[in-house]
Amino acid sequence: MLEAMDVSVSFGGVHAVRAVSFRAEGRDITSVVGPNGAGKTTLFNVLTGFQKPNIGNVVFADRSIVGLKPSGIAALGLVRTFQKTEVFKGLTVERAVEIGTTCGRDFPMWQTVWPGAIGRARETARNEARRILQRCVLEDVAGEPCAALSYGEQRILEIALALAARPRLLMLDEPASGLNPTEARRLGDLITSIRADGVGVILIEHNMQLVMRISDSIIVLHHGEKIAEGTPSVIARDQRVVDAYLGGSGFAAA
Amino acid sequence: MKSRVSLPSWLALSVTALILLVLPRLIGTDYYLHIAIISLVFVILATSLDILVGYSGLLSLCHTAFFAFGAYAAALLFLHFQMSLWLTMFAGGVFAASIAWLLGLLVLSVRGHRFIITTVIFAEIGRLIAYNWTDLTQGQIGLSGIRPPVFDLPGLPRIDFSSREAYYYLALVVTTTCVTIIWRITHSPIGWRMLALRENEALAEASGVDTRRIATTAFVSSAFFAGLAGAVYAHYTGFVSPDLFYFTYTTTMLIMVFLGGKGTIIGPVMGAVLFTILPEALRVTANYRLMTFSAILLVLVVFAPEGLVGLFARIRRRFAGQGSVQDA
Amino acid sequence: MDLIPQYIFNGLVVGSSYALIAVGLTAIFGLMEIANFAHGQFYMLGAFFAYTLTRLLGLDFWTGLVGSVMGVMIVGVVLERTLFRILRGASLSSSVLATIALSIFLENLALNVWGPRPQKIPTPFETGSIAFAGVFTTPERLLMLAVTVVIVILLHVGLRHTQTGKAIRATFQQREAAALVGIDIDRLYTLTFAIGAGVAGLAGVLLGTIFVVQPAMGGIATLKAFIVVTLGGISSFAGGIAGGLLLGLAESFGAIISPAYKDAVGFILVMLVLLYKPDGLFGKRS
Repeated sequence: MLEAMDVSVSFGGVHAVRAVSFRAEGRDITSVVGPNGAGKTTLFNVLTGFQKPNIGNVVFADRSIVGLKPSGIAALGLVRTFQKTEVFKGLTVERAVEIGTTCGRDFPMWQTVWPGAIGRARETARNEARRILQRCVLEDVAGEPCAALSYGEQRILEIALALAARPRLLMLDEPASGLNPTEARRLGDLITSIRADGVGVILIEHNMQLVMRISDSIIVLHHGEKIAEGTPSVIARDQRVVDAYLGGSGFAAA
Repeated sequence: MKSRVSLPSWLALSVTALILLVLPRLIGTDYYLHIAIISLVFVILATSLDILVGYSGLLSLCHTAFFAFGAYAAALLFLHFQMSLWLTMFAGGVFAASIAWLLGLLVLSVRGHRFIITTVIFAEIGRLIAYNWTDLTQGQIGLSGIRPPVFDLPGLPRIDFSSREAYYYLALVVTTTCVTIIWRITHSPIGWRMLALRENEALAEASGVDTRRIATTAFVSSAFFAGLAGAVYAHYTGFVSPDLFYFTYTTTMLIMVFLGGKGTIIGPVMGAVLFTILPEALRVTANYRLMTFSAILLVLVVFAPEGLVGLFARIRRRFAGQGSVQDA
Repeated sequence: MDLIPQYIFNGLVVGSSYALIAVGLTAIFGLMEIANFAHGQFYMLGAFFAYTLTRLLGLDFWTGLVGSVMGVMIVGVVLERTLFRILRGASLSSSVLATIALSIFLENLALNVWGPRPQKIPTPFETGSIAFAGVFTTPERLLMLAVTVVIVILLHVGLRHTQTGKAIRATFQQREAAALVGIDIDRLYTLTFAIGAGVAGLAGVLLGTIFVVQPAMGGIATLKAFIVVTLGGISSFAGGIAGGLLLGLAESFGAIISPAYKDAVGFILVMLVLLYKPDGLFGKRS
């Protein structure tokens, strides 16, 4: 579904990502792990069009997406969240998700004067939003302003907003950071349920317990390079991975 | 959307409509009708500026330039080709919109201060052109002799709009139409994308909003209505000059948007009406007028950034005791 | 072609006043992230204070100069302590609109106090004109240039070698960090405002001996200063100074091509810079 080929990014001579290749399948949870500064978010930015790679290609759904705008990539079904929580702060939860559902849909200007067109669009948006809020267990806070939500709820809301864009492959950047164990478990369940719906997930995450529990395959980045790839059980035994994590946050301990 | 309009709103709308329709009978004198017509023009300007400032979060300081471009286009088309307002309205709008599109190619790639500053500079460029291209614009003297239109279709009664009263009704129809369309744009998926742009540009992109495109849409449509208002103004006053480009006009429009409440339609409408009447009421202190205005704007921006609409909502919440969030 | 040195000279004189106004604007923006649309009013006030002290109260030029610069500094400090303290951390559009309102307020205040008629500040010099190296000039213009050079050197030395200067530069780089290492932000802001306003006021006094003094000059100065900082990069001192001189020169030469569009030259320059180098000629990408 998504394939990165020899992707390299450097900032002023410093390699953030170096010749990384990998594939993520459309029905899998693929996790990208690695110590801080390993280039995970940069890789995400390349895959979603927020950063141009110096070299390399990214193919999604059988077409190269390098050079497309983030919105164009999102429209193809590759939708991301951000490491730092990003929501539409001034809007209510319901409204934000409603808006999210219409973002990828074409609505030409002339339709604004077409009787009923706006009402229909709004109805569709409202139904879709209700469905998404239900599935993310956010219906109780639907009327609240996004900014009034707890941190944990905001992180879930981000996923709800991403789901509103109708992804075929969902990319989550550290969705569990800052969540307590209960919230993290809830998040894990949400992610697996998304996979169950046939939507692939690529996950950057430091919470190794979560990663080991739900991933189908794991990619390990270190200093911008891919040092290992495989199923959770393979990765846990990989000597290079253990070495890379030594001194930092102990991999075995996590 | 119809289901969302409550009974009291319908009542308020009907009463307002009725008052607007009989207004010329109520106020009678030409002077007050003049103020009414000018405030209608400013209603278009304020609501169209709100597309950018309120809904899209782009603080543009060149709205009056689009107004002026529309007015000049209308004036020139009338003076050279005897085109009536029926055509110059659209020509003025399209001309202003085209310029906005071109300018957008340049300035919509920058945000924040650079965007704001560039728009100020652009308005000045417009003024310099109007001032210096004397062959076309007669420079400082301005263009005069632009006449109101005459409605003359076979089989229908002929209406001459040169009387204040007739022009009032014309402006009322045009303004109502414009405000309705602006309302529909801002409350359609297009407007929702503008909100996404305003609230969080990166997230909007990630959600599939082509932010560059929606910013352009906002900029161009906002300019279209400003240009159209320019034509309505030109055919009413019969006179356009480079002064229309003055920053003071943009400030006036901004005060209207902020006074009423940005990011709403009713807000700028109220703001425009109030702020056209208020200066007239304050005529006694002509010398201190702009000082008073700027003080009002200052206080509004610092202490009541949500404007009158926000104030009403706060009062209503206090009485109803419910936490309703302002419909953006 | 013989006139080229003259054009360069004229451009530098006007450009140095732009630079003096832009320096304060840059400092305020760099420190507080507020684009002060009322900054040109400090320039206007400086000129009117000097006009009042010299022409109306009969003081000599140099006393008037010192007095009016101090007066403008006081206005700057008062505004910083009140309005700008409230605006700290406000949204971009709020701070822009508030300073626009302030600018209109001050301009109309001046209009009510001093009237709309253009005035002149009496010159302290006896000599009418000076000629050297093919350039005709006046002592007032030379003073303008000399003062600019002195101010630029003073600012440079102050920023590099004094404790406060270092603190200002540190705050420019990283505001949160500056607060953490114990820099007294409030004092710094007040000082920056005082200096920024004072330097703009000084430009007003000096230019008031060359051109005329009128309430509308502040708004134009703000516009020019914004062009300068957009040219030079909005948070760079060197950019502000270089941008000021560049704009002065561009306008001076633009006047050869078309006097009517002299002012448009700067505008077009800015548009081009924005198109090809959106962070300004000397700006670093943030």
